[in-house]
Amino acid sequence: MFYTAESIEQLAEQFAQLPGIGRKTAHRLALYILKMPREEVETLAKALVNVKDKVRYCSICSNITETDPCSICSNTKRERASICVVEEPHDVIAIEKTHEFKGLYHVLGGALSPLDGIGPDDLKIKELLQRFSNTTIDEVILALNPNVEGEATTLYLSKLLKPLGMKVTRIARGLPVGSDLEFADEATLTRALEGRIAV
Amino acid sequence: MLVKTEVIVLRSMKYRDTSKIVTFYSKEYGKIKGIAKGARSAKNKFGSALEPLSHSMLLVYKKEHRDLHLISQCDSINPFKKLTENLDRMTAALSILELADHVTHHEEKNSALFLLLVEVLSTLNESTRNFKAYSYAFQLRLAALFGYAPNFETCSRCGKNVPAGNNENQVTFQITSGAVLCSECHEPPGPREYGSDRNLAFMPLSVQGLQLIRCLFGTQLSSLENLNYDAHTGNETEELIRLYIKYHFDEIKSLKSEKYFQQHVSIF
Repeated sequence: MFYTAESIEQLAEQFAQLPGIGRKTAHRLALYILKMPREEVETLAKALVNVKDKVRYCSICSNITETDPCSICSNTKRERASICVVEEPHDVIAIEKTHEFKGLYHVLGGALSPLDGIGPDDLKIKELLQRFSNTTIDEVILALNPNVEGEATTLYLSKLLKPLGMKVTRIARGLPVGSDLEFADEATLTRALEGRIAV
Repeated sequence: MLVKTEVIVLRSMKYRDTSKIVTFYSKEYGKIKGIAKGARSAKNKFGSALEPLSHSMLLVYKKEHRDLHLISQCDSINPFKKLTENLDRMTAALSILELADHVTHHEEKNSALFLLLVEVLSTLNESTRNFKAYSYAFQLRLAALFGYAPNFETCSRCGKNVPAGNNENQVTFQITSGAVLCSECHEPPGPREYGSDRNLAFMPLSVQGLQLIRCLFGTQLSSLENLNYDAHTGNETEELIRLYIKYHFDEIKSLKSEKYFQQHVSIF
């Protein structure tokens, strides 16, 4: 038995499938949609369909894009000799916001996780290796999350790439800007000390 | 109730935007799960204390009849930093965690298992070679803790010390009983024993294999890195321990880290 209209229930059910949205929030969203002007609802519906229709993975870097190759890979002003390897497309956005890195990216689509059974074949590692056969790469920067999965992927990739004769680096690990040294845990502080640089 | 307990972090998973759901094996309460709010943000208060493989001191709001508790604070006692600096060592350590997670149930206290976890991870952290041996030593000791201690010393039928002679493959290990049989007591294998159900098989074990498995089970964990054995002996021992553990622990259908072991970790 439906407590409201059948279409409201159906919409709430669809919202409830989204991550982080429970049944109550789903109902609230469905009722909010009902109150929205028709044009806004149509724009939302169109945006949802567009995401599925237009967005695809870049054939070079595996980042999400509407044009293949993506805007970064097809940009002639970017440095082609360095590749920054990241786990997910949102990591590309985070690094791009810094305006510090001018090279290209490669999105792995996750990280190695022995506990979850995610192995090298489940990531875009073959695609990364293919890129080295087509162009000359001087440096590979591993910008992976500082957790067990990120460490496993960093170790695996460095083992794989170093014999190819290129410079393999990883981003530094340490204290976040604006934090207090006294509250840092031992592991973070140890790594910050290991990665110290001359000033 | 706010409780404080020593823990080993077994696994952690992302929850919502910045939180984590973490599974611990604790000294006082056995396996417990907790939610750490904001643990993935850059300025989180937990640091590396919630990363798998860490030995930490946990402060948690523990409520009766709840599966998921709220983590108040978690400080690192030993992050076992070297475990994550080598892929082989890390894979061996993660396989230990995965097995501990599989065989334990929610809030079933076993202090001996906690101490074994701390000991094996800290010795593996300091080891320089034979990483796989630590995982297999843990598996045999875990079986003993759960009441399935194997007997590699005396023949389960005649009671004599084994091996009695010098022939290769003279000793046989029975997976079901967890005991060795000397060459005199063991009859040649019938079709049932080497048939489709290999778990029931009597497995032949070489003298070197028997010595290795005794070391894995009996000697101090810190001396495991000094073991020297060939690939054949390593393979034979590995297969025997794998079948023994699978037979006695119903929960284990397949360990995900096992695939990694076969692909990435060099043999003994």
